Amino acid sequence: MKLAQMKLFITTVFLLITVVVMSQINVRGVVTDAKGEPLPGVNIQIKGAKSGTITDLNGKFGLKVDKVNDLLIFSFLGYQTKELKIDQSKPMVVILQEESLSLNEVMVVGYQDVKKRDLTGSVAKANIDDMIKAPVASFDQALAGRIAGVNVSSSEGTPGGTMNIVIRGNNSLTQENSPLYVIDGFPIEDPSIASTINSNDIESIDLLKDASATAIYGARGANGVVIISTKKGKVGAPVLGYNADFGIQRVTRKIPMMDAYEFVRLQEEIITPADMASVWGYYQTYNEKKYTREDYRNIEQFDWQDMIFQDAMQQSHNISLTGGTNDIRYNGSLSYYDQDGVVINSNFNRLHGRFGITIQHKKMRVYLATNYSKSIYSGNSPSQSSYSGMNNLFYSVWGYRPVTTPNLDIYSLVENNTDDGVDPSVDYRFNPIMSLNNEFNEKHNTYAGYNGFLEYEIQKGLKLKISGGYTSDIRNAEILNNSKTRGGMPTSTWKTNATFSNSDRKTWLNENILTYQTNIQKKHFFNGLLGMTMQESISKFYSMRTILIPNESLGMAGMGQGTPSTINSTFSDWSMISFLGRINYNYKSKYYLTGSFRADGSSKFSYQNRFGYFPSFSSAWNFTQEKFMRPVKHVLTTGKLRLSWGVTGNNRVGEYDTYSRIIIQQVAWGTGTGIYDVFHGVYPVNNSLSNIGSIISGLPNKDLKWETTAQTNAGADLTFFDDKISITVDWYNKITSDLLLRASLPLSSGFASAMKNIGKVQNNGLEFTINTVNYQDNKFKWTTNFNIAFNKNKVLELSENQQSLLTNAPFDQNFISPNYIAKVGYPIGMMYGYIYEGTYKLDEFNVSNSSHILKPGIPRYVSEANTKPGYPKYKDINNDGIVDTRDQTFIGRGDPIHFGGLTNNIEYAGFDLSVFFQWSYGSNILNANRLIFESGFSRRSHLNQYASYIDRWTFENADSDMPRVSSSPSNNVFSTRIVEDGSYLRLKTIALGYTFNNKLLNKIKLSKARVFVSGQNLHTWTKYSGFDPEVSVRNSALTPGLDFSAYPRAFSLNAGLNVTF
Amino acid sequence: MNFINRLKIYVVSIVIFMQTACSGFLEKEPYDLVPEGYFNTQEELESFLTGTYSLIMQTQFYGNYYILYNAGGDDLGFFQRSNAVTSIICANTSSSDMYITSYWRILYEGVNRANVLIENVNKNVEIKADIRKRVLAEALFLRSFFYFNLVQGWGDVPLRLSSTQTVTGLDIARTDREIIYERIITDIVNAIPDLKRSDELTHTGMITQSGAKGMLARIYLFRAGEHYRQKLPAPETKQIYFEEAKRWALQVRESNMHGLVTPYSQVFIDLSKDKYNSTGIRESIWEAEIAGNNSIVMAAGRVGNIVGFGSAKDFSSIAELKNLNGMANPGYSYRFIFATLKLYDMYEAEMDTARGNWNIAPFEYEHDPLAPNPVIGRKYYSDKRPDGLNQVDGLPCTDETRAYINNRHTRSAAKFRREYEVVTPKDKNFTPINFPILRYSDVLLMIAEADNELSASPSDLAYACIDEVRSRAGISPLTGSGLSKEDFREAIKRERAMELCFETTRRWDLIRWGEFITNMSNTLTDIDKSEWSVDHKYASNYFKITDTYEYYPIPIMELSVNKSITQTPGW
Repeated sequence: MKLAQMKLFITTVFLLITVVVMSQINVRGVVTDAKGEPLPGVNIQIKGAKSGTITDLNGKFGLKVDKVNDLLIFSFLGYQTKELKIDQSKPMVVILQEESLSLNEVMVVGYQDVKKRDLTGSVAKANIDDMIKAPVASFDQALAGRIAGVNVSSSEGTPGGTMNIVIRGNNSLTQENSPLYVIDGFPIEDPSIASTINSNDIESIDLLKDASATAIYGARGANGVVIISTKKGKVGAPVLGYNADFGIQRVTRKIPMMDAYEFVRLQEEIITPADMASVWGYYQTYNEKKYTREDYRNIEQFDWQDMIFQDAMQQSHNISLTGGTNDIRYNGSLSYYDQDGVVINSNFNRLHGRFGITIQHKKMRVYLATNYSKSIYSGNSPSQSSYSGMNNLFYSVWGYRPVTTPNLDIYSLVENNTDDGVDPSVDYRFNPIMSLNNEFNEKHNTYAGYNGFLEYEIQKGLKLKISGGYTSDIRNAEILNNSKTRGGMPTSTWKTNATFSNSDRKTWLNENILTYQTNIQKKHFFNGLLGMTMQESISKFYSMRTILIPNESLGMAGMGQGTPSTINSTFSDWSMISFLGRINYNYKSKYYLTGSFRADGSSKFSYQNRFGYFPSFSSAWNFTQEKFMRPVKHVLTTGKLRLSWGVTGNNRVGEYDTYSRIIIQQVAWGTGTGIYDVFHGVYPVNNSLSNIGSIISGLPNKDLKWETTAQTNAGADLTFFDDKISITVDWYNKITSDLLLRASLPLSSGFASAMKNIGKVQNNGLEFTINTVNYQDNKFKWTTNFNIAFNKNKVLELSENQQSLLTNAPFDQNFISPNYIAKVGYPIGMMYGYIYEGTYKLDEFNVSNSSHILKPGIPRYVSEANTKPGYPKYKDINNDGIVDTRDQTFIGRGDPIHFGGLTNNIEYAGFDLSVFFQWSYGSNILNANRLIFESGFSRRSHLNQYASYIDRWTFENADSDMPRVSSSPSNNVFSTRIVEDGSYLRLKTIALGYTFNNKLLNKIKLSKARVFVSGQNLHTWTKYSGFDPEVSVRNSALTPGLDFSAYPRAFSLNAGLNVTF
Repeated sequence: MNFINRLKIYVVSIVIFMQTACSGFLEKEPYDLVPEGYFNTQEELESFLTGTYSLIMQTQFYGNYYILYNAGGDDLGFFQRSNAVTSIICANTSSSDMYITSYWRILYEGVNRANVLIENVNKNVEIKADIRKRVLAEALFLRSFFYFNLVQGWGDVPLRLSSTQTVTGLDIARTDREIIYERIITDIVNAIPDLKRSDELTHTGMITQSGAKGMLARIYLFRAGEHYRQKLPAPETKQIYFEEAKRWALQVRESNMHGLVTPYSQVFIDLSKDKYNSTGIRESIWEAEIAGNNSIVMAAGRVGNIVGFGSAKDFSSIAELKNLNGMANPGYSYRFIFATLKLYDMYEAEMDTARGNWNIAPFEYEHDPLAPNPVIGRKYYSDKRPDGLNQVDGLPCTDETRAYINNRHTRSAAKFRREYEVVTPKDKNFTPINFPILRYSDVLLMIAEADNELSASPSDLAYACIDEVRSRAGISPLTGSGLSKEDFREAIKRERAMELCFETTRRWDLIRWGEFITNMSNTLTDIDKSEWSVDHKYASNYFKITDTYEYYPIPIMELSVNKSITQTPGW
């Protein structure tokens, strides 16, 4: 090397001398990209000489050379370097080819578009083309597994259900962890917005992950930001497109239940022999026949799951139109989506329309768009009743008995509201078919958005953009419970009853952004923005109920004939003002520095805590631009290192949590367990029903302030072998402090919970994304995308030096002991309970007078004075001889260790095939269904059980570790017995399409046509015994992974076509 | 420097702009009333007082859970279901018992509501002084009442005498119960002069001077027996507690506003009929007000439906029956509580039919075997049909002839009967029946008990009081029977059982007499008897308790967030 350096030095000296001596030649020209757009800042060097120049803003250059034979080297980051002989006869036109397509991808970051190679933060772009191949209702349902570090899951399989998107782990314990959605510049916090967007309208989805990217959204950026840009008009003749698909869905699995024989065998252990032989019993004498267990083999019986599941249809249609001139461009679409649920009487459908227009006039650009969507959700939730789990659908579906006693017609089970054999005072089982077929529950969500902007170039490089938007989100719900439903049956309090509710939220936004870009000597490039935004939202909610409706055949129309019952009205509003700024600097596209700052003021906090300040800094180094990297250029095509730090916030609390309120309360609100309820103020002195008193509604916290998240991110973007392989790696560390938490309070305070700023949570992790082009020629192309993310979550601090926070994810009043724990030093959302050690075995007892007495030294369950063989046995962790609440510990983890996705795309001769796998590894599921359906639940009679319970403990099966039938309270606690591995690998989507060739299409006047078949949720590899391992019916950061009566997941098979005219 | 100065001015002006221009835009107040602007009128004070009373009639208290699951576990009644519910009454509870947890929660909600009212009652001195004084007195009483229920249930409990204002620093240790006793007694004593007199009210839903005095007597008696569950010798002050109990109870008697209604059943018929002391004799002193059928305002409760007596068939869904009253539609009752053999035998021994046949169902409603099943009559157990009673509401009364049924003496508790409800339509589950918190007969028995404890042998006063109760029941007076102090004490205990069963006092009486565990265990021998229905033998599980049950467990929900509180040993 030393020798080489010496040679270089000597040559340079020599050249310098000759330059002085020789006469010079003028060369002029322009450098453009492949599309003919001028490229400013291109580096031009005379080969072998030191001198050179840089193109100006119009891509033009001029320089003097010494010799006619000199070669010019044109180099520019992101473009292939070119060597050309000088041409002094005419201005040279130099076209540079883009070097790496992926690095020139435009990423939308807050308030700006940036090329990927100029990015300093961690931003990922979702591959819309791949996602759109999944036959789902909205983009969020296809997002899982697509982007590293973005965990997308649904609580259950409800049609039209909202997805839970968590970017880089949960920050907040009890508040929303969903990201901020920014749709064409309009920030929206409500995750249900996703279902109002037609995936076909989406141009791009960018996910801002690190703080340098999200800090520009300051107060609301802590959970990451999903930026959605919709399609804008394209210059050209009108292009009309039509997409349609049809599909059929079916449940992925059923839970095996006991058949009639096993069911009756179980009843023997629950019902006394005398009762078994009585008129309510299975072994009675009827029509002079004495029934025995054997009579129930192969008898006519019901499988209730078969009766409530259906093969459900699904269809979608989308028409789009785009076109225009350079001055005016337009884009519009109309779409319809309709999906029946796999559970009868559930459906989701959506009508969606949008129209946008862009007008360019000299230095001014105007964009106007309108967007409308109407979604209708039908059907009750099967899992969301938490006072009594018995009100949830699958309690009745699984629990309803497959046979009746001989004296009753088996069809009476299907024909009657309730089962005559069941005591309605302790068991709310209701004929699920009857109830589902008669329930009317429709939610109509109407969303209308109007937004636009005006952009004006004040002077070169200085632009002002004024944008505004207005959205109206109206949600109506209609519920009619007639006499054949669970909620309106003749024995219910309200009889036939109807509820109508209306919620109306209007939000407006104004943003004023000034951007400026310039450079110094074409080496130092600056751009920056300054802005101010204002947003305000006003919500109104009304609901009314009438009861004792005389004519249920009129449906909702007969509501007015009923007796007026509860009427509610709730108003709320919030507002925000923000100031923001950002500066980007780069030196020759090699070294980058970015700084941003935002100040947010929110009406949700009291005066002294109102404003939050959110700075960020980031830098990047395109190190493959350095000379010393040249030798490995053939392997490492491009490489960039990124480093960032920033602070973001979260203000997702109630509008008025800083206020104490006096309310006139007519009815108690809550689950009915009285623990988190708001008690009412009615005291009917002198039997006066109108004596309704005022109460304090809750405990305010005047000191509430912003929750803040500080995040450090280090990342690298590398491409190898001419971009055939590209790798992005990110490491991050997030610390969220002053967590906004709906914290449980000591009940002795008179309040059950209040909003507090509590403690600290840390998330750190690694994300890898690898894209490879495995093979590519003119006919055949095979690409692969693989991503994986690891996130470690840890509670660093809780309130007032609290060591742990216990939470109960409620699903039934009999199971209110805490089942989740957040403990300092451990991840949040850990499952909590006892360690199950199997059943008490016979040899652990002394037998006297034919009763079993536990041998000394063997621990018993605290409130179970008479432990019997076959009862569940838990680990006595503190060895005090009694298993009590002190012996509870971690029994499972709610969050996965890693998750990701693998997509393979193959194109060959007009065929395209996409195969997408998605997985999640390392989380557990608290399968609460088994507390009731694999336990002989409190000896409840006539309640069917899972087929797995056949293997329960009995004296004949005394080795079994499945508890015997008993009403022991030890049966009703959370333990490792019901914790299951929730890891899964899912073949999520396969899509096979064929695009007809142009010759054929020209004959029938089509410009493009593709037909396809696709399948969704084709197979899931899991050890989980429930419907599906992607489940969390009480989903929150504290209580992930609870399964109770979840809506089952569907597998679907679709076929469709895309045509463009 | 110049640049820096300009920058400073610029930054400062931006900050000023933000603080001023934005503060208006960012000022959003709730659309509800806020405490700062409340408590300014008499109506607002009364409204908040109503809200404070309200807690006693809700589901978690006298409306449902308390009277069944929490206070129902005694030796006079048992949970009539073989499917045990995790609760005190089923003797299988734990610190996560929802009935206990929600009872704890509602009592402290009551304490806090009372504290808010106490702090704000004198906010506007323009409101008439006597009104403010009366509201304050009621609030002080209610707070004390909530605390007494806490002490009864848990012993030492956290004592909060001011409203909760902040979300931090809420850890609070248990205060020695003696301190709480002192405080609540002082507060009630101070409140009494400002409360209304019973003859000033036309209803019994709010606390009166007599009610407060009677409750003071109850508090003193319970305090006198505290030492049993603490496993301590009787305190020197025990006699003082009896003196105080006697003094306050006697004041109720000497007010001459109260008396006993004949027949005994009329007291409970009034409760069902939404009447207050309809005979003009103020026996009922304080009731938890419950009304309506929950069809519109949630003011109804479950008295009579869960604890009490009604039809075993539900007619609430049958159009032609749901608006009927009386025998035609006696209302549905789950009859969760059945009387034990012990209670049955007490009435038999004294030939006490007035109370025995009221408190324990003497008959079953007879239904038409064809559905829908209207009631077609009453079928009385043997010897239970009153002489000459051949029909009620035009429907026949006949005798049960099947010996095996007549031999089953574990029968439904029937003190609260839905048959007498007047509110229609009758709801399956919700009733307008008020719950009697304090009756004059209780006051009389407290005088007798306290006086007996203070005397070497029963005084004339003690005899007079117990006999007033006994003669109303139509059983022989004890005066002249020459009972010893100990015998008289036992007589009082039996009398209280017969008079006050199913009114949520028994469990606490047993605890303060130090005989809760023994009496519960003794019931086990009754279960083996042939009169104890074979269908109810499962109830043996509900009587197997340890002395841990002399206290309720501190709820896990409290323990897990209140670092200063400790669990009662055993739980």
